[in-house]
Amino acid sequence: MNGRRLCMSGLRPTRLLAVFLAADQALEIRSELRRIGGGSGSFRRRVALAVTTIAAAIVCTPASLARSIDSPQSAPAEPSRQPLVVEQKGPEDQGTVAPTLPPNTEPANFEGIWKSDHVRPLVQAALGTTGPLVTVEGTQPPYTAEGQNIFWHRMLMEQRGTPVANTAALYLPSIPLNSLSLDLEPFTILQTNTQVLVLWEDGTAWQIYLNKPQPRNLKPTYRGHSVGLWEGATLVVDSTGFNTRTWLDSHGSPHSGDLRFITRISKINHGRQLEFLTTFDDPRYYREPFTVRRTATWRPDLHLLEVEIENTRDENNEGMVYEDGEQPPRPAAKRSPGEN
Amino acid sequence: MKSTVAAMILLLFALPAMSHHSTTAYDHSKTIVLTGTVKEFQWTNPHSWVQLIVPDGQGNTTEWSIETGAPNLNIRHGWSRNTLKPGDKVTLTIYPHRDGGPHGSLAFAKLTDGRVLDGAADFIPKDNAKELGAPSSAPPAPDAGSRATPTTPKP
Amino acid sequence: MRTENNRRAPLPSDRRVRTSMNDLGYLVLAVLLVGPLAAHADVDLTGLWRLQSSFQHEIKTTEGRTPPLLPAAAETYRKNLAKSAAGDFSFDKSQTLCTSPGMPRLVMLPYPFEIVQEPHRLAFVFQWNHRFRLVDLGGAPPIVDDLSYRGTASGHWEGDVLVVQTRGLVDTSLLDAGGMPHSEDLQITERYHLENGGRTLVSELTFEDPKTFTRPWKTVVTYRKLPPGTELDEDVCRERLAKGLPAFELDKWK
Repeated sequence: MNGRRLCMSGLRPTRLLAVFLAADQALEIRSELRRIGGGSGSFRRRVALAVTTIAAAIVCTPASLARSIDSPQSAPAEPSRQPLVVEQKGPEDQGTVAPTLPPNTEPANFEGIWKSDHVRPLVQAALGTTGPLVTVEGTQPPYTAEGQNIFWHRMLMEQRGTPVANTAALYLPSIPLNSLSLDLEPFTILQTNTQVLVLWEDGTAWQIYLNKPQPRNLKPTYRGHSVGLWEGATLVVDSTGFNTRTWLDSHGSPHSGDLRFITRISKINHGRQLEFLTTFDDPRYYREPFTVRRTATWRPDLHLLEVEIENTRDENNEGMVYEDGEQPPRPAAKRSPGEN
Repeated sequence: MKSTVAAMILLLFALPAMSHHSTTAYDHSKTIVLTGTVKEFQWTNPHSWVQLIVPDGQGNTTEWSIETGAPNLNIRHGWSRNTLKPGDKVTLTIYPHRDGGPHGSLAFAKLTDGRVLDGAADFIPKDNAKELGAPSSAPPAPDAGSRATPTTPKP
Repeated sequence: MRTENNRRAPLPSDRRVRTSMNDLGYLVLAVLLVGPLAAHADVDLTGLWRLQSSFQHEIKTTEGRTPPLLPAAAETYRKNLAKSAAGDFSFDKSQTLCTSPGMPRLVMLPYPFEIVQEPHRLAFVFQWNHRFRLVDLGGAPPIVDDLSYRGTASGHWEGDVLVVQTRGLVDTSLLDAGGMPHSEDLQITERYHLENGGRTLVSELTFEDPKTFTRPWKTVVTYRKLPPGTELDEDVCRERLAKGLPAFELDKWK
């Protein structure tokens, strides 16, 4: 048992337990020393124990956890004692900040602040775009006839200047995965041994529950229900249980209540990027499963700001067309029978 | 293949992300320069707004409603909630509304201290738009005769 | 077989037993030595929590009194309370538009919230309208990029107590459903600790806002832990408004 690995992993044992294990190692060392050498076993024993105990205490305190993470270019080994210096990237930075999250190239630790890699020219569509879904083969999704009709209708309505309202336009939630496409601002990931939590500035929270099965009879929701399993350093996420008010992209790719998708998340590019490979399955609108790729870049220099809808001027909805039973958003009446 | 190419041409002009209203409401093919006094600066989501009192040089004034970006976008383009205050004089370069009325979408703001700030109203900041490889403005209005009925792809 | 001291020679099994006892002793010693260094390490607030103390429509101090408002703020509060009593909540965007109710209302609603705790950060995920707030535990001075409803929060441990300081709160939020105002200078300090074998979370909140109150004041709320494995439900406030239901369904949580 490696006490240090336990400190680092998501298992979060108490630090006392980690020390216990480290001390246990000390005793192993002591036994070894006794076997190898003669002399004063008692002295050697004490030295070994003292050294290991102190080392364990150091290893398992928070400051050390911060420092004992590999520098990007080296193989996992020496703790880096230099804070990561991030060069300013341009007008989108909001000033010089000390990174509050330490460098992290642990393969199975996605903690940090990330920014979706944004729109690329369509000739590089397979590398990931925002906007309409494009598969990793660089093609449109394999719509069924029904799916294609819906998609083209919505696309053309937008072209004509009368877009069909989607949930974002209605200030309603979207499928969390789609925030990678819809939201070009930074997002953040926290993780424990029971959950991986992805948070975006508008309040979208993708809660990926670890090591539990998908419940049966999920009540359909905007955000669906996601469960994840680690396969080595790849997080494999199964998502289903979606209601039918959302779209698969901002342009109108439809989905049914049977939508299910698997997202494989892993670090690439020496831990500087996250790759999301999502295979969508929805036989009503897509002839076969298809895979879409998104990536995000690690940006510890950025902070999450806040998006709170509070100014719903009518201009926001200008030209909007409401279909499928949707209504324009309206503020609440000023008087309500309900308790506030 | 043909449908893919056709789709790609169509998509080239598509505006991604949370277009919660049609930006074709604003005419991106021309700009108007307005100089006036700020009546109100609404630093809000989903959009910020500048209510600008613009004199017509003949003793009359008109109040213009100019849409600009959400705060999280504006901040990343050098704005703060205090950039404009009631009473400030400012020059706004705007894309006017197609209906010709006193409203528009902000292209650039020139402050009295000389700073020029991006309007960021069209959601795709100008530096991102270059990467798009597409014009940062809205697509041209479709022909009056275009059909809404899509063609059925081959199975 | 006996030695010259008339004590039998140690058998291999004896040696192992004595070795084991020595081992245990050293382990206990190690634990005791390191224990104080790891004082707060075991405190984990992760889990789902639900308000246990009563919901405060009008926020009160620990002594049960109305907080010490300055005259102008007291006047605004009086007006809002009167409207609220008449069923008019037009002064409160969280009720008319589902805008975040901000702090401290987010942690004083009867809706569950989930704490996800990591060494460097802690997140509160609120069931109400899927809001969240992040608390930075890294120790760097907090940078307020812009005023916000959730504020900018930084925290540190004092023994077993998590101390969270929040500032940068936009002044368009209210401190309670009755409409208590605050300024941009408001700073809220929350002190969290566990009781009852980890089943109860106690929070003492201190409010400092010299533009609104004559002096700092405190209130206390308690939460009970929901069973492990409970998940937050989806809550979409705007759907309620569309149906003519209130933004906050308090009856549901009685």
